[in-house]
Parts: sequence; structure tokens; C-alpha cells
Amino acid sequence: MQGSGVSTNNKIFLAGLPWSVLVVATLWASDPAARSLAVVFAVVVLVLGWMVVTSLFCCSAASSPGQLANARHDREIIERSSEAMLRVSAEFSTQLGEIRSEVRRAQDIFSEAVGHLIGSFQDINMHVQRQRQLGMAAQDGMPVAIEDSEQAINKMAAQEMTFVLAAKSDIEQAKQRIEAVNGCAGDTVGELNLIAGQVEAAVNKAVLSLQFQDVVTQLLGHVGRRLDLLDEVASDEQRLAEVLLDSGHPEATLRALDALRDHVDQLAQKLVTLKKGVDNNPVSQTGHAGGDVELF
Amino acid sequence: MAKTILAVDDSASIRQMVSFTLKSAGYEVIEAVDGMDGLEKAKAGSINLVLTDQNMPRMDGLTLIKTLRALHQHATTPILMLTTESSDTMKSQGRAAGATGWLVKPFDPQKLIEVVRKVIG
Repeated sequence: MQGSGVSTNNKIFLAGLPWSVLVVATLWASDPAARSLAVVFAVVVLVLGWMVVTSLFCCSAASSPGQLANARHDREIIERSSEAMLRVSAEFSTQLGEIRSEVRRAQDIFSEAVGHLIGSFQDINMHVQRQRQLGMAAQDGMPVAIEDSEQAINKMAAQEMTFVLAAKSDIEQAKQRIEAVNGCAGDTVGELNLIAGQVEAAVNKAVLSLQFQDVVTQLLGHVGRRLDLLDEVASDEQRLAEVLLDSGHPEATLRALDALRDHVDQLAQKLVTLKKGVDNNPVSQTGHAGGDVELF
Repeated sequence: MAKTILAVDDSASIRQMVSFTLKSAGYEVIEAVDGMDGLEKAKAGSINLVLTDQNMPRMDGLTLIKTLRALHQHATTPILMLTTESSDTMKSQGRAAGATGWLVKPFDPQKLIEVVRKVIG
């Protein structure tokens, strides 16, 4: 990484300076002739020269081919990471959009199907009620009709005694048949009423079951809110990747890291806040039994 | 004269089922699609009982109850919550807001009729 240490050239120069000083010091110690003003001047110039050369190489180190290659490599890593983040978050957003659209479509199909079911259910119930009313009317009307027939026969018999004597057995048989029909009709109506009671119980069950659309719709709504939360996270990640990609130089990226860290912190806080919105699931039911009733 | 019940729910199927059940028990039923609609209909007509959902657009059930209780006209009108929510916290909030009772969806038609008869006769 650029600026992280001293290059090999610089090390040579930095080591060469004390080595030269050591050689000169040894020369001075061993040969008095070496302590002349000219030699001292030469040593000072040599040291200054080393210092100038070292500082020049240190300053130009960033521009050295090795450092440039390192910087380019770092930049490529950042770019690749940012692009990967962008691709992932974009795909994530696309998938979330697809899921949301599919959930909505399922909800629409479901609502339409339940709407039709309710319509059919109401039609069936209306016909059953009508049938029951007809049965009850028949049951109420049947004894009256039979009673009327009996009265008519009796009246006729009273007027025509000869006819009655002659056809007494026929009349008795007719009355027995009418009573048999009456009994049979009564049984049928009784059975109809029993069926009507069973239908009523089935209708109650249907009313209970047809409410599942509301429960499922609320659950799907909650799923939608969770998807919104994930979408927010994907969008923020996308923005984070764009910031990384936009920083033109690795040094600038390093400088931007503080800002990015703040951004990640904000994202974490936002997640906590958003999560509160989806923590409370409005539907706790796991089956389809009738709910509790409580009067305050 | 039949007593009138205001059924407030954003789900059409629930409104239909409530209406079907209560009408078959001899009550008049007025339907409202959310809290705001329910409030307008409650202000407009004579209502003997309000049956409301909690989670609805524009105005939720708890807000509707509080708003109705603030009106002189409905200060004592029985209000039943009919909702999927069943937590004790929500029930406490409902009671504090002025609800008369709490019914958890899905409702049993027989139980609903029994409760309504108990509350308004």
C-alpha cells in the first residue's frame, strides 16, 4: 500500500550515509593526515550530498514504478469490490421487486377466488333457505288440505247415505291412503328440517372458513413490509458501493473510510428502527379455529 | 324495529360474512370500509352497536373508538373489536380506548350472535 513504508532504494541511501560516516571516522582515527581542512570539507559535502539524494528519493518514492503499480492494484481491488457490491445489491433489489409483485399477484388471485366462493356460498345458502321455507309451508299446509278433504267426504257422505253405505269400505280405504300420504309427507318434511339444520351448521363452518382470506391478506401485508425493509438495506448498500466507486484514488478512499463507517452505523440504526415496524405481527393465528371472545 | 349494527372492516369478505351472520339473526347492518368511513356513517345514522377491525387504512380501530367516545352521540354506544390481533397489550389498549369487548378473528357466527344479543339484546 502506498505510504506504508520506505522503498528498497531509500533503504540503500539511508544505510549508505552512516556507513560513509563510519569509514571517514575510522580514517580520521587511524591517519592524522586525514584530519586536514580539505578532507573535513570533503566529508561535510559528502554527508550533505547523501542527505540531499536521500530526501530526493524519499519524496519521489510515490512516483516510483513499484509504488504506482501497487496503487493501481489497490485501486482495482476497490473498484472490483464496489462493482461486485453494486451488482449484488442491484440483483437483490430486482429479486425483491419480483417477490413483491408475485406476492401481490397471489393476493389478487386469492381475493378473486374467495370473492367467487363467497358469491357461490351465498347463492347456495339462499336456495337452501328457500327450500326450507317451501318445506315448512308444505308441512303447515298439508294437514289443512287433508282435513279439508276429510270434511268434504264426510259432508258428501251425510248427503248421500245410500252411496255411503254402498261405498263405505272404499271411503275408509281412501281415508287410510290419505293418512298414509300425510304421514309420509310429514316424515319427508321432518327429514327436510333435519337436513336444513345440518346445512345451517355447515353454513356456520363456511362463514368461519371464508374469513381466512382476511387473515392471509394481513400476513401477506406483513411479508410486504419485511420486503420493504430489505429493499431499504439493498438501496443503502448500493449507495455505499457508489461512494466507494466514485472515490478516484485509493488515498481518497482511505480518507472516505471514516464517512463510510458513519454511513454503516447509520444503516445499522436505521435497521433497528425499521425492524420495530415489522416486529409486531398482526396475525398470531396458526390454524383456523374460531377466535376468543372477551367482554370487558 | 330491528337494531342497527355498523360493521367496519377493510376486508370485503369479512364485511360480507359479518353482514350475512347478523342479518340472518334479524339485525340491520351498515358496512364501512375503514375507520374514517365508519366515523362518517356513525355520525350520520342511529347505530346501536359498532363492530370494528383494528388494522385498517386511513383510520385504525383504536382511533375510531377514541373518536367515537369523544362524541356525545356515541359516548355509551357498545363497541366491539373484531380483529386478528390477540395480544394482551392490544386488548388493554382497546379497553382503555373504550371498547366494550374483544373478538378474535376468525369469528364463530354463533358466538358472534350470542355476544351481540348479550350486548344489545
